[in-house]
Amino acid sequence: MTGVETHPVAATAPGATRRRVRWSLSVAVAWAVLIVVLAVFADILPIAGYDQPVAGAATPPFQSWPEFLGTDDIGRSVLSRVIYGTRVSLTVSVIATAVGLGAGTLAGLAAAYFRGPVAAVIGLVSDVMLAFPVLVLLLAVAAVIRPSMISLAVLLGVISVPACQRVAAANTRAQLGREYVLAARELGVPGPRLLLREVLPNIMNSLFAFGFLLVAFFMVFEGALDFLGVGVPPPRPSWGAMIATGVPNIETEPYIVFVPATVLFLTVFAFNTIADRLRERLDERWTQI
Amino acid sequence: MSAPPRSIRTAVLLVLALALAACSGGGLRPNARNTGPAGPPTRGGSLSTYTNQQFFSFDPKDVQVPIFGAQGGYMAAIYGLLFYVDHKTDKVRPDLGESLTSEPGCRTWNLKLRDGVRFSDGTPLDAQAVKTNYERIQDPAGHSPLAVHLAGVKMKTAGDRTLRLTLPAPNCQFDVVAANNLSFVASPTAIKKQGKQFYANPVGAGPFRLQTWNRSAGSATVVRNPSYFRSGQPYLDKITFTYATNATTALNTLLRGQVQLSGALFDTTTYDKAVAQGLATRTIPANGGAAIQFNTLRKPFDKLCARQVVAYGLDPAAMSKALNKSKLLGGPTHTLFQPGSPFYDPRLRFPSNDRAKATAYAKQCQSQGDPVRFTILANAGVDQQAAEYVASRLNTIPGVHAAIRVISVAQAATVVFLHRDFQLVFYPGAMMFGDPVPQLSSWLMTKGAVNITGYSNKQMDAALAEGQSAHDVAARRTAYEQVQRLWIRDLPFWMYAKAQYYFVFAKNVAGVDPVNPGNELLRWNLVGYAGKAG
Amino acid sequence: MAGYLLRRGLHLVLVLLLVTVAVSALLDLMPGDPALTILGTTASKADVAALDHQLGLDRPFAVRYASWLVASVHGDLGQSVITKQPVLQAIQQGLPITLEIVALALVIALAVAVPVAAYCARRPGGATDVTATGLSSVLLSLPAFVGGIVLLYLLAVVVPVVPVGGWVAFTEDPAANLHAAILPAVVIALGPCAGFFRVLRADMITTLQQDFVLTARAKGLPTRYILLRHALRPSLFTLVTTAGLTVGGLISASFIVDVIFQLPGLGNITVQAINTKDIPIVQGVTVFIAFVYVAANAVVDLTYAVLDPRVQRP
Repeated sequence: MTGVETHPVAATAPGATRRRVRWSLSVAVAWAVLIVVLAVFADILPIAGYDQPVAGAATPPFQSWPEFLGTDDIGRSVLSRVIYGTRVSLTVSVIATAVGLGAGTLAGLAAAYFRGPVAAVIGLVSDVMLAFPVLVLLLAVAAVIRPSMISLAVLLGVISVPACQRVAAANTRAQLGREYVLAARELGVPGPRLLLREVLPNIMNSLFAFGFLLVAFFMVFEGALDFLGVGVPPPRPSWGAMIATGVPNIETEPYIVFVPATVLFLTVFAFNTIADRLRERLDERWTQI
Repeated sequence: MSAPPRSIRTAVLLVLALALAACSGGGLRPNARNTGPAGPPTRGGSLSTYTNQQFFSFDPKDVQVPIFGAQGGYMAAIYGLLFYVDHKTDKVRPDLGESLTSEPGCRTWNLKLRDGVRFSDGTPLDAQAVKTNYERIQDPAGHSPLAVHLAGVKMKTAGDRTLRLTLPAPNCQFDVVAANNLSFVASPTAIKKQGKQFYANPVGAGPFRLQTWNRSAGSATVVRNPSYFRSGQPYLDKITFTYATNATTALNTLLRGQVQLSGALFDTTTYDKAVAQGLATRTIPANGGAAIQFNTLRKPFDKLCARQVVAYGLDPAAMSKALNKSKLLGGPTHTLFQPGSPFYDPRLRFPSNDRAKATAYAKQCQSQGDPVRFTILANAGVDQQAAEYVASRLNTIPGVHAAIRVISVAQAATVVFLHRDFQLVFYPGAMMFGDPVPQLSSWLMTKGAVNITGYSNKQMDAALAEGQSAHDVAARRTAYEQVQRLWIRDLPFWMYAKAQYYFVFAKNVAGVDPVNPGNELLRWNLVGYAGKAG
Repeated sequence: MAGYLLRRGLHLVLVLLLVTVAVSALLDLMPGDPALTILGTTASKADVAALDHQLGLDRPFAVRYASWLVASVHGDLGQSVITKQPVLQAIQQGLPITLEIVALALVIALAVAVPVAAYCARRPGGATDVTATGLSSVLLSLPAFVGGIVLLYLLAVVVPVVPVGGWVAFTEDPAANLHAAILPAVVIALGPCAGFFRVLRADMITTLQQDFVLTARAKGLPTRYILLRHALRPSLFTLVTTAGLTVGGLISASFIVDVIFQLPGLGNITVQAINTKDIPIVQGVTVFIAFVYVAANAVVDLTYAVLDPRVQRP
């Protein structure tokens, strides 16, 4: 991951900016909620199935209902596919984030607290994972195991562990100088208990904000994988795959590319915005990844 | 992967495309569009073109499929052609060689070379040189994919310029087979001198010589061969062949004029665009077409009723319309041979588009204890759309359950051809052929070289053998009628769209007249820029 | 200091070793057969097995890896199974293109991010600042492959400003070379540019709030002078660190643009090698990339260590 985040100026922003900022947060949250709702309730919505040939092939949007967004070149409703696509994007991104943050946090806590050989080993494994060419990994893995949403999500999560580990470690280190930690140590509280019971809750907020960033990142990444053909297998629709199949016909049927591209972009933007605002609220200095 | 996987798509299409290899397509003539000035080319100029396969060897014995897009294109520049099959007459014509005729019975053939033709290193292109080349192909240690064409053939020189070949069985189409597959010969002196390095340092008698091979960029440049036996030719100074990894980009470079010629490597929509933009084109129709193959050695397609479900459940017209964007190329097909071929018979239509029958057959299979449940194997990016189309249509028939499994390029050849690990697969490239020999036999004969369906039928074998050995067209027509009837009855594979090969090139390029129907090679000594030199 | 260098060196070697084992094992598990690529699809199982044996592909994994390792230590990275080209040569041929794209991208990203960040740091919350920050969010959210395809379509097909693809070597024609490189470089520069902008802006705002700047202002020094001489320098340190760490990501991104723009760089070579299971090439490229990544990290860490001796303690 190359994401480098910094703390935008919050304390000195004038009133107008703060109002604008709050407004943008509301929109972002609303969109994110919409996506989640669509993903959860896709089955009961009055739309065609994602694999069903409806109407004619390649009809442009805004012409009929429920093919409000047109149909692709084999006659499936773009609207349905975009809506069902939310499931793939969200499932993969959320699970990947959970895996990455979960494992990464544990590793980060350990690395920060235990120093010495433990930290060295964790650092080594981290470096190996970061030095590994991701494209090679993904293309090769896609050929070895049959990709499914879960396997893909776990793989992505594993890839993000080094980055999560560094964020968690940095946050943990910041906590280690605090009085409650020193006090607990004096009292003889064992390391793991101290980390999990005392330190972890205190860094949760930071990690939570980082989690939103991760979700956004994974959505993009998963889209890129679909685009390269190593993502979720058909006939499940995913935004990246829809973009990929639409590109050759971008001149005659541009909507096949632009609809999923726009939805993907807006969703990622929404999650990024939420992450930004959360960090502002927490007023913590970001560590660079 | 559609798209970017364009690169991969191209890679697959090209590595696996088994177009033709045979001869007289009989009547399948090239059409031309937007052709430029008709005058003879002027001397000079460089030309850039694309190949669809990675370069790995310039040794003639390593040629897998001599189609233009694979190895045939650049090999023809370096080695020329001993013989070729003319599209207009479907007869074998001499080029570097002088004649190739058979004695009565079609078992013994005489290959005669011209006087005075030399390789670019001075070695004479004589009967011994050809014999050395053919023996190399036959040598099992050389692993030549062309060995099958010379299997069991005995050769003897009769003088300097004549080579006598005795075939293990009569084959009246041998001259066509030779013109298509055995026309590239290399200098035996160079082969001996270079040894293991010969594959990268070819020496031939063609109009051009290899100048550079940039392996990581996937490009090869050839320059004029000053000792080419036809004075005044070739017209071009230089040709650059580049391996096109991304078909969209490749086409765009063609449209922008960065590249001047290309064989078919992009999907057909872009063909329309090229025509609209005023680029010249040549399209060459072929028999056969885009096809689905069943694995008849595995459930559920070991049962005829299952294959009939698929055939009747799909409509070639709707399928072709959904998957093929071009208004100028392609289109549905209903027969194995196309109009123009002497073996075409409009009455011999294969089953398709009858939902009632499809439903009935599905029920029949179900009641026999063989429900029609299967997985479609699709190449990432190449067939994914087609697979999704087929699955979505067939899943609407009660009792049918179709799933999709996507495999990557790396796996494709191994899974499909080596291990035959599939139930239903889209034949990579398309099942295109000119003359049914040897391609159709390869697909339908028991243990044919690319018979991945596992189909085996004695009557079919007999009919195919008759079509291969018979001398006159009438006898062949009877044989291939029988072949078609059996195929329609047994359905080891099913077709839906016509296929064709085509060239797209800048308007001022002249001499784009493909030969060897099925392989569509260009005789590079005739290609050049008409009017102003490029 | 010497102990520190020794430890970093050991770390580097271990990382390289583990990464190459992992990549080799992974590729080995992949189905596919280079022998089939060479022989064509009509080859029989016997033919393929024979060629496999000839190429040494049927030896056990440990043997193959060990012999590769021994050879690499001596500088011989083997040769491509398909084209027989020495791997080192393939890397040498593809490297300049990749390096040029990455370097160009870095230059573009910095050339845009630094002035804009400096300007915004002067007036935080102003119109420019809000626009720029918003735009940076957009760019960070934009998938590179989408941006690449769209930009290619707009600037090469719709309005033919740049060539559609392909490459001309710098030595052949510098103008054409830059012409071909500019769009791929811009595509991969977009994300990092946004990232640099954010880092630098936040850093400079913080620096500008510090006492020594207030002192300088009180002394009556002009803002621009303050910015350049006092605020930019410490912020540059952060920026350089960040830039160093993004090199790895830029190289990965260049692989994708290689495919889209059909450039003969490392990306194209690698993707093709993966598709044909040409393991030696992928091993070679992996070693190279891992080396670059670890070296970049090591340089950054070394800079920290030199500037701040406390860091040298484990």
